[in-house]
Amino acid sequence: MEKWAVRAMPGTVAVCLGLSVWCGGCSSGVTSGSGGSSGGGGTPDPGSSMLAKATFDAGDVDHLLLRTQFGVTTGARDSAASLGVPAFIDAMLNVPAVGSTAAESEAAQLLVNAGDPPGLEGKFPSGSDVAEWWLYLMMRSQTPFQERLALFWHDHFAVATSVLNSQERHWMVNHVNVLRGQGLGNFRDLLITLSRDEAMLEWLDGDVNVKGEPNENFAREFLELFTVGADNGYTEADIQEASRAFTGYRNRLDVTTGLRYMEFDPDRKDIFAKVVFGQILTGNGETADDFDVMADLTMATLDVATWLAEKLLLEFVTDAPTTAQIANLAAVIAQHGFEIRPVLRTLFLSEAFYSARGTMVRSPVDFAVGFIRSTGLQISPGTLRRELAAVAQLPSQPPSVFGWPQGPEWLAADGMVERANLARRVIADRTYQSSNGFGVTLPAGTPDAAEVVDHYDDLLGVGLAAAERSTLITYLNSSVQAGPIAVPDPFDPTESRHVDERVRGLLYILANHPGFLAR
Amino acid sequence: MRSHENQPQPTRRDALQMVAAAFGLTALGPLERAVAAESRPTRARRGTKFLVMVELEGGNDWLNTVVPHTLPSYASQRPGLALDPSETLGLDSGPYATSDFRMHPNLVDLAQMYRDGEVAIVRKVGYPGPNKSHDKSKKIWAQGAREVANTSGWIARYAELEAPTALGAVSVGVGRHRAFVGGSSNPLALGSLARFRYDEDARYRNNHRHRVAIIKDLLEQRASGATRDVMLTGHTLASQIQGALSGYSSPVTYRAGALSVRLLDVARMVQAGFETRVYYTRLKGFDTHGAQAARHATLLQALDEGIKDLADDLKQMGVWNDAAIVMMSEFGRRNFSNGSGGTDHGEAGMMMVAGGTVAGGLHGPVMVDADVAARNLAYGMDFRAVYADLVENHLGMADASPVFAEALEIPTRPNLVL
Repeated sequence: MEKWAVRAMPGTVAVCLGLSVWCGGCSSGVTSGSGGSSGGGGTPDPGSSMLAKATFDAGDVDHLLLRTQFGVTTGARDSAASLGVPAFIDAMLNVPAVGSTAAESEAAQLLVNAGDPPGLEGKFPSGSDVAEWWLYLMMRSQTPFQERLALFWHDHFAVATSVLNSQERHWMVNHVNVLRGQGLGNFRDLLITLSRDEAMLEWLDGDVNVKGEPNENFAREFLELFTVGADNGYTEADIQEASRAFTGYRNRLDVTTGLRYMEFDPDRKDIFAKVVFGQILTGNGETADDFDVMADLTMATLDVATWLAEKLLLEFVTDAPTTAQIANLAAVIAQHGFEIRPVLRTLFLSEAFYSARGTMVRSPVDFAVGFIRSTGLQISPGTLRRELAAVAQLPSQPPSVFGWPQGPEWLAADGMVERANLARRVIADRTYQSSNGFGVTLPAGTPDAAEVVDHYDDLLGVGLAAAERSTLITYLNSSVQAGPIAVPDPFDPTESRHVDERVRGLLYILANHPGFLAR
Repeated sequence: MRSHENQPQPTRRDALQMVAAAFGLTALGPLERAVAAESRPTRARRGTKFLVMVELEGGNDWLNTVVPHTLPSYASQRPGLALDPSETLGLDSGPYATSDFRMHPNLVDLAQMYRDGEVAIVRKVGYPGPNKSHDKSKKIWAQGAREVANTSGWIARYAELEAPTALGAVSVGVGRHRAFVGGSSNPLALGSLARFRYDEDARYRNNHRHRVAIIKDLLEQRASGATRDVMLTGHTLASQIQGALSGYSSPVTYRAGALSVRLLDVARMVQAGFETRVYYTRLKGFDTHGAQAARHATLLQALDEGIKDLADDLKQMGVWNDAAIVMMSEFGRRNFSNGSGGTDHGEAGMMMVAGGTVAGGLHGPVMVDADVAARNLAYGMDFRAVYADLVENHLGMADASPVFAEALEIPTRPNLVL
């Protein structure tokens, strides 16, 4: 776990979240959330068990939605209740084909610019356009898990639009669509597709990695980040040899369209045998690149399953995976031959997945998109782009090939202020919301202040303490004058100003509660 | 004797009067402005040494910044781009007078500060195995490690050991810079002081203030925990920082350039008495592949103005002796100009360090014509040796090796601190 291990210097790992039952830094590495036995004996530890949980309650459903769909919505809750959790997970893992949904058609308009040549509409997006296109999908998609999983792969195979010019930026749309469309297939295929991906070739110097002058950039990250982790069964010599196996591409301009493309060029490929991991790699000669051969050799020789297990756990299960959790999930990955869909099905049904609710730190994207989706207070993709840039997690622009910080690494004071301001933007973007048909949705009937507080506490998964709850009920039952001085004034759900001022204010307060930063 | 030491440093009373002079004026004037009746003591803490890191982002063309005009290859390598000695600024007076270098015509104030003994120039700074990728080279500088393997930033390591508070190290306008990533101290990354506040809900201002007060109350009443603590720190810092913003007053008028604006934020924090040991900011745009002359001149003017404004401000606060302003870039540029009036990515470069206790003059290996006749300037002093010198001898860390752990091929350090 090089990526996290090096960032989490001594002191970071031992952070305990002030959230109910769990301590991410317990030296025993044991989660105590499920109350299961973890010491000795023959009892399997539910915190690391990949066996399916027997029954699922409403809390489990919310947990599933929070970890896999950016957050809870009443629609998803209803769907899970009617289908049952296993069938709901099956449906969730059956994502629509890329380009087949209404949300995608709407999002695609964000890529189009006035000067686009006929037939090439949307092929010359700005960097902002690319980000907004994807953010629109995250906010509006009917299948949010597709975007959530793509975001995981984006962090794993981190590529940034910033290195692409106007002739190349369409590559990033293709790249994200690979993440969205192939993220549930076989890891081998995803790895090979992304290795040859044009944005990836540009990002990690694949187009200047030529025979006789190998560039190690891609080979190093292929091993260190994409497949096994740093110093994990390979040597510097392996990187040098592997980089020879990754030669063969050039960046070309199509003068008809004005778009660049990556082309396999046998003249640039090093066709001679390489010795990687102590084995002779003969490759495909002049007919094709050796990327598939390298992927197969790596997956056959090194412990890719363990690395992938750890990454999946860090994304979906815990900020501090235990050895047992990693080993158990790695076994599942190996058992399914790196097919991601059945691996995730097993994971999302497992005892381990449900054993420690509310113990992970939400990333800024999860925080923002979750707040927007759960409350229904949509904002424009441009606004969300600017806010996420301010809070340092803009999808399509990871800060480096190492992706974003993870879990507790996000707990910085400046980020907390930026998150508060992001929530402020969501509750205060009234003009956009009223002109696009979005607004505050209260529980049915004529709810009183307590019902409104309970509704949003529940929907946002905050977990208010009793005293906090009564503070917020009092808040809803007050009008505020200059000072500020709160004066008793019972909440009336039919008063539009009460909803506009107080309910939005309640949502802002809840977004600034530690419970909302947990997932 | 350094010339500026011949002039008395402002006494505390002088500083108070200078600050008083500006307080209450809506438009700040120069030092000599009329004295206002009201007085506000500066809160800047004296004796706490700090660094102000100024990254010249994009790869500065050092040879056209600090010009080795006596080396024949300088002019021959750069037809059309080499600066003529008649336009550059001399450094040939003062305690560290040299005729080996002259400065770019837009570095008027830095040249004067050099002549006053307040600026050190470190030659041939770099690291072994130069990487010409902006990203990789910036990463090497930020991490303070040549190994490509991912590691934490050097400032994060320093802050964790020596300044582990929320304000121990602060960056301004650089996002979450890699020098700040890693470690448990989570150094503060500010867009700007003005941005570090809880934005208002403009339609319901009173209500929003009430909301923020409730949030803070709820946090204070909760048991300590990582999330709660850092959220509460956000509230505390926002108050402190907005206090630094509103409480600041100075007779120095900062110019409007991109760097001055950020350095003004640094000055505000210094004056507010923050315990910050390392400030970090940058000036962008030094990747001058084409049409370099005009662009570089504009950038260096912004640099010159920013450093001069900050130096004047720190002097009037009485903390110039506590400051070291460090100017560096991820690499130098090629010794020869390219076909489009610019220069491509090079290898080693230089550094400049300014401050009241900085040993001015020339440091690092002597440059000879062969250095400039080559394609790239080769490094002769490791940037980590420079940083380690500053960390130990300016910031006062007993031993910088936990921050810069890698063994250096060229371990020689400059002696930048008096």
